[in-house]
Amino acid sequence: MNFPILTSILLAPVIGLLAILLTPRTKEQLIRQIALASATATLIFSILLFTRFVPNQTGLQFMEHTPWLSTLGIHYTNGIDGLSIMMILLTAIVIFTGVICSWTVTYRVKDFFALMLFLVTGVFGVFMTTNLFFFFLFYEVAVLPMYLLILVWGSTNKEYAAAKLTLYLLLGSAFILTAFLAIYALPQAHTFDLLAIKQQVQFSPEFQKLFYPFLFFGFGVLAGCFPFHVWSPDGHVAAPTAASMLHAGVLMKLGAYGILRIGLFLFPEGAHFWSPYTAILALMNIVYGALVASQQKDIKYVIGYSSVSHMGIVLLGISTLSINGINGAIFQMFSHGIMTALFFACVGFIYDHYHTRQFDELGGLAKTMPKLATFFIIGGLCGLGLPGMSGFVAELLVTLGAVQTYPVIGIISIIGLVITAYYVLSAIQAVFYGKHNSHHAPAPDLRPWQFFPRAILIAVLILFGVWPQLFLHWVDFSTRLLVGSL
Amino acid sequence: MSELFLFLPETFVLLACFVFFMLTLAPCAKVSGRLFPISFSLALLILAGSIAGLSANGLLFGGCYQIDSLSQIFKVAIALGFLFVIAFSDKTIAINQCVRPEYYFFLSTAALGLMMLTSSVELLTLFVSLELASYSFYILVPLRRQGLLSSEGGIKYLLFGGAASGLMLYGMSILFGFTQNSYFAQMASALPSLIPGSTIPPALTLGFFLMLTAFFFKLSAFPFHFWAPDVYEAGATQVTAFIATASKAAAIAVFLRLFQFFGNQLSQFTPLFVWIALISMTLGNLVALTQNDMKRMLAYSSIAQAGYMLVGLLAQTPAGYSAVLFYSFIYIIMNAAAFLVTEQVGRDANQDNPQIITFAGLAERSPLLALTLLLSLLSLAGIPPLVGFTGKWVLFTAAMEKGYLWLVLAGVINSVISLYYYLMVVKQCYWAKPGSAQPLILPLHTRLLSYAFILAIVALGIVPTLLITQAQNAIATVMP
Repeated sequence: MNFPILTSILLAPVIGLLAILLTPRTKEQLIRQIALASATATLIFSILLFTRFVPNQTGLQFMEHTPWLSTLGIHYTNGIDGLSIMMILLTAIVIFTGVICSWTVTYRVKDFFALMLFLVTGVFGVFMTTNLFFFFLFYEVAVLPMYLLILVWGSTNKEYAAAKLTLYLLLGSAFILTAFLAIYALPQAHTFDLLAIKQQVQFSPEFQKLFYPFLFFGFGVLAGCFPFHVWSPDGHVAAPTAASMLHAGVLMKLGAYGILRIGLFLFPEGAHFWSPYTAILALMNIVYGALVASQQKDIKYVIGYSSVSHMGIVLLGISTLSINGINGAIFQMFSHGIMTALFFACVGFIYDHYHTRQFDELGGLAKTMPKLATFFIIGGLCGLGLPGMSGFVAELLVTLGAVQTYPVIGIISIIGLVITAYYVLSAIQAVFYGKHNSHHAPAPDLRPWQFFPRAILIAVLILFGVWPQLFLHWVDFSTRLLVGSL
Repeated sequence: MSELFLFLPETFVLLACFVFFMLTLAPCAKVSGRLFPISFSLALLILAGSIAGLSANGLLFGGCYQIDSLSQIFKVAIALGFLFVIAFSDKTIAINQCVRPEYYFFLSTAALGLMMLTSSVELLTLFVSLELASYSFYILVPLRRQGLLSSEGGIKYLLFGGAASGLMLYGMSILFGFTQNSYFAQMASALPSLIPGSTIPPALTLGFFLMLTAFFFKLSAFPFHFWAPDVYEAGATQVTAFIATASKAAAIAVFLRLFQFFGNQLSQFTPLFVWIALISMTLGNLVALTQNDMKRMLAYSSIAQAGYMLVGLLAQTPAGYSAVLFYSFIYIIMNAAAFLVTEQVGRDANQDNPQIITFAGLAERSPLLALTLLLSLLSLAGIPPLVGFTGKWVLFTAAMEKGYLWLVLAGVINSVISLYYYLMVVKQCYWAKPGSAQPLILPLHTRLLSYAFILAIVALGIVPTLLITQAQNAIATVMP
């Protein structure tokens, strides 16, 4: 038995959580340090994963197995492939930078960091487990703390946004749960182990056609799939900075991950049957999200709707069921995760100092906050798909895949990219250029410890932008396996 | 000696009844200070007795009274419920100082009746046990201090309950008429010869249906749920908590017992169970959305919970039965935790019917109570990694295995609906500004109890193996 590195990644936030719970409420600095320590631990462990991960190996790696409730086919089983390892890295980066960016939280510090670590435990769990019971358990653990995070620490209509987000996501998971139980109830199955199910069960085409939408839309709610995306802009706007970073950066990827890991993996025929329809919905995401984003006057709403649009690219990539498309989707999941985290980290900083996010209240920040402006603008360029940034590679791959599979949809989706360029540039123009709004005294720019986390995010964006082969090197083989089985 | 051991939990309850009866005779000023320690130790004793008797097996009283793993596990559940209720009876604002010995006395007779229900395998024993429990409740509900409200609830309970008992008695008489026997085992073996071919005589169907009615009533399942909101609101919170927890568990025990003996005949009612489960869940949850009174909300939530339990029951498989057994056990814990917080908040506000807005700012006034309430409500809604999630998972798995896809989907969606009204309370606790800034000071035993609830709700959710295996074994030995 090797060192259980996956469980260590999972336990790092749990131990941090317990340590925070045992720390007295008044020792706020210590609480922050504990949170940072456990986030750092997860980051180190996830980087360690890469040193031992073999990209061209069939099957899952780092397998761990512990019986749990054997009579019901529930085991604690972990294992990862190229898709999961990138998602784990993404989560580790976002939580690490998120904790640093929340250093300025002063209200109920203990509860805040406890909830953050609890949430991130769920996220890591989803990305590594291969048992449907634990998958669902971690999924809900990841989704629910957001309610309190928004309600207690949020802003702008937070009551409404928190309830809306929670109910939408849970309604999605109701369908997921039903599908899981239906799979279990098949006479050949009687286990919740994903790999065993894949081996033992021949799903009839009718079964696949019936339950693929359960999974696609169940997970799709979290992935922001049109028309179930409406929780996402409100939720992201209302959430506190680090929660937005995690939610838009990582949680929405849980949805896409679920579709890939379970939906496509178990129900290939269902996917083939439904993918033309899901591609149309994904196109709606891209174009509609971009159109709505271009009409927003609140910078956080722009990012919220841009997430809807960008997640559309992920869903379109998945719907192509092709190697390029799915590689692109995974690339986009990663790059969008980093990019949105960066956006929210920048906007959070602006809001902390100016207490507004309205375009007409801001302006000229490039002069007063040059470092922050640079970060935001680089992020924005990545968002609009500038070559040399990771967003470009991702969108290129998805568009390639889409044009091959659905030429019309693929071509229309390019319109979305044009609109994206428009709203990103006009948002940058409104916030960072023009005259400095005289209502506000100029605020200080990023200090070194605030500079550092945002710089990490930028570095990752550029690294994979100029060296996409590195990313594809880890992911491509897993994608080929998945697509090959389709 | 061995027979006494079989009857150990009940003996301890009887002892408690006797002690409380003697205390009712003493002048109330003399005993009031000692009541709580006495009752608490007795409740602990009863719990210890039921745990000690967990593996007992045998027949008592000429075959009327079966001691087996099914009855014993439910006795532990009822003893737990009794202990929880006693633990927050230390200061009852709703019950007059001078009738508190009587309150304890009737609480223990109710517990005795409920325990006997779980062991009854004969028509009259079943009836006597049921009435012992019911009459105790009929007295406990109006025992409350404030007049009109509790009288109304008490009378409703009495009338509805009396009618249900009457129907049950009529159903029993039909069954007895058919089988000429009142012992379940003999009745079950006589029944197949009475059913020519595959059609069951309508009168027999009616008999079974009427008998089930009384227990649908106890479980507050649709359409026998009307009493629940009024009675929950009318009773002192402690009494309500006992009705909501132990009484429901006993009803489930009787259902399991009936399915054990009459599974073949009762399977014709499966469509009925499906509809009752579906409507109970939906109606309970939808009406709960509009409630302002915490206890009424919990009443409607309990109607919905009854629906979930029926989902497991109607699968009529060992997996389903053990899921129901598991769920009714943990339901006691989750619900008692919610009632504990309700009682404490009501006590603090000096109003035994706390509104949901009374919970405003609880997280600031008492983080521990707020956390207990948060976890218990989320667990009731079936949120992982809490125990209610595991419970619902096993319930719905069992129903799904029998192909009830749409029922399961409805159940799961219902859980989402229920989350909304649970979250309304959570929102008050964590978001609203408190009415008074004074911290809510808890007595030591309440604090310990809260910690125990939190621990149980989380730990049983993460590691349910032991309890589920226990439930599976109990069902496996009773229903091969």
